[in-house]
Amino acid sequence: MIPAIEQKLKATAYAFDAPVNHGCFSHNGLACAFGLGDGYVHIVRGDQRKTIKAHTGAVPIIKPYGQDSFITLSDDGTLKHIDGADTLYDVADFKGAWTERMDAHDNGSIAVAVGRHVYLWTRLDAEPKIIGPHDGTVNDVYFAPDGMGLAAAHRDGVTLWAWPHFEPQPMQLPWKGAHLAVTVSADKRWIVTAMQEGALHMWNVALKRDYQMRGYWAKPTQMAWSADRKWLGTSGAESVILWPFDKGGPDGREAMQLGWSNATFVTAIAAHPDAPIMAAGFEDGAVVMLDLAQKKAFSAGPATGHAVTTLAFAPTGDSLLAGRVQGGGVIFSLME
Amino acid sequence: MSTANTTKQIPVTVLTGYLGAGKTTLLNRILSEPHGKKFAVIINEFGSVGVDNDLVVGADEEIFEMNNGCICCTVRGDLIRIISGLMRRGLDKFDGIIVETTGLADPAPVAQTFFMDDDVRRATRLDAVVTVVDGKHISERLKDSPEAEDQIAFADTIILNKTDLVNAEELAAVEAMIHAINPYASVHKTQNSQVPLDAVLDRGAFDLNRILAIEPAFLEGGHTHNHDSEVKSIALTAERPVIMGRFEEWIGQTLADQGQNILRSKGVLNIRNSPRRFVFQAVHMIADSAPGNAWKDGEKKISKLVFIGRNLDRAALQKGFEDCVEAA
Repeated sequence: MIPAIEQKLKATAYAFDAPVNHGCFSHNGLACAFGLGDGYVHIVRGDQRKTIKAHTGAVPIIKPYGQDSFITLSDDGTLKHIDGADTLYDVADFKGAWTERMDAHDNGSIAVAVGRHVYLWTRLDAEPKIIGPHDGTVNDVYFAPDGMGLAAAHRDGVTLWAWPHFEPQPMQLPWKGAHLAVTVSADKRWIVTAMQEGALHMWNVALKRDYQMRGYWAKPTQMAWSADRKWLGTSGAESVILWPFDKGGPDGREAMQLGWSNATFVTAIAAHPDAPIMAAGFEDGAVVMLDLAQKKAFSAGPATGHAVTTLAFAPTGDSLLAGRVQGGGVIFSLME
Repeated sequence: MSTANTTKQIPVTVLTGYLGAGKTTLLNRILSEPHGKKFAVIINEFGSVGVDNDLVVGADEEIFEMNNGCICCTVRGDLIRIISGLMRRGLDKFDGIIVETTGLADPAPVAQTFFMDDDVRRATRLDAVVTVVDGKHISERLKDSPEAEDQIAFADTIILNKTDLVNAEELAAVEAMIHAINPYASVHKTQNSQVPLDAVLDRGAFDLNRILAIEPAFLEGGHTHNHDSEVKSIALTAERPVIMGRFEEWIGQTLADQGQNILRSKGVLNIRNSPRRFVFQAVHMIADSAPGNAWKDGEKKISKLVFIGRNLDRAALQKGFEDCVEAA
């Protein structure tokens, strides 16, 4: 579906008392979930809304799982599963560990960063495999898009673990500094991290080369690949910084900059599943749609004064959810 | 820099002090007094955080070093993580954050986190570094522990505790020792950490508009360095006006060259042709400056500059500063 983003989008607002930390749609696109700062998960299934007290801590990350379920991780150290009937199940309790990064793949795998280790499930009902220790606290985990590997970002580099055994010799990608977020390109040639000092680091693992992209004003903590795989959009500057990944990658090429809102930073980013379209959220609360093909930006949501924390497109491409630090969440309809 | 400050910045008090000095006693007093305020407390000693007792985590102390190898760019990754966790819950729930560091912690990466990390800097402001000193044992500690010395050097406020365990002579010696390391911190002599809370909280020590003057007392008379402290302070004054351009160039170069050794620096300057004070302060190489209050009529306009650090070359600093001053 190619959405019509240049027109005014229909928006449905959801008021919450706590900050929205993270949100996502289910894989079948029929439900969406907002993870909140007070441990509640708010689930919208069509006209039905349900609020579930999932954790005592905040919910920094919630991911779709199976067709209609969700996996939620809290920084209180608990991992839970919410099924299609909105029933809550305990998956793991990391007893007092500081947990805030997790990834879940369509193939049913789940990875959770716990201190210097990663807990890895291939199925929900299986025992987790524990991989590590890494060179420092694992700051982010990311499954390769084909599900056949995992990248773990930590101090002084990235460790790549390969399916199916996740051992014994992971590949190390060293680069001094704190790597806070990591992503892997669809062809698995590129590993990109966001660093503490306002920079990206990019490894081309096929060519064994790496590059540093500096100059961000803030930490570029969110990254998203465009549907056509040509662009990696990043937060952390006054516009979305889009690095070109066609024709051999961004080395020696200019980044494209799109979107702007009152000179505030981009705080959230998401890519449309089918069309060369992204959504960007700003520190002032504005939500802006980006048409990468036409290199144009369109306003979707107003600057409310409260930073956008999370954006996610439905897998069906017809809706976009947004969440803010204050003032709750919004679901935009992209189809008239 | 971004101008959109959508939330108010929460004041942060960093509480340091060697093991057993009385930090926890002070912390418990802050939390139990009926001030009607709500604090988030980050306790590093046990790698845990208490927020309404609902958040207890094991975040290992972790220093983030930058790729540029600059010591001044090191920040505390665990602190960033925990403050991000508070932000997720909504920082507007709190009136302040208190960070209790371990007795062995280097205060620099803690303080630098509040200047260097984007997210932390936008959500919070460092209010003051408060160091609790054990009046009985500090002399011994200073001999064998550089951390104890750094904690005094970094302090804006010093709680000189356990004064009931020493006699007047010993107390005077300890005060002189503290003074030699850090003459500009305000010192409160206490027993059982009994200090008025307004001496500890909401000090605005890093707020340039609140630095009215550096206490002149320490500039008068030679103080004796009666212990083998590596860390010392150097105070410089000028009675003639300072030339702005020259000062900026010199201080910038000085901090760039010697920022590793200069733990903190602070200045209140009389700038040529300016009716207002110029105030300046730095943690290692990270400096901040702004115009301050206007000089009053008839007030003696003396510029004062203090460096606290290791291996400082007094003669060179003095010469450098004098070159910034208008010729007689």
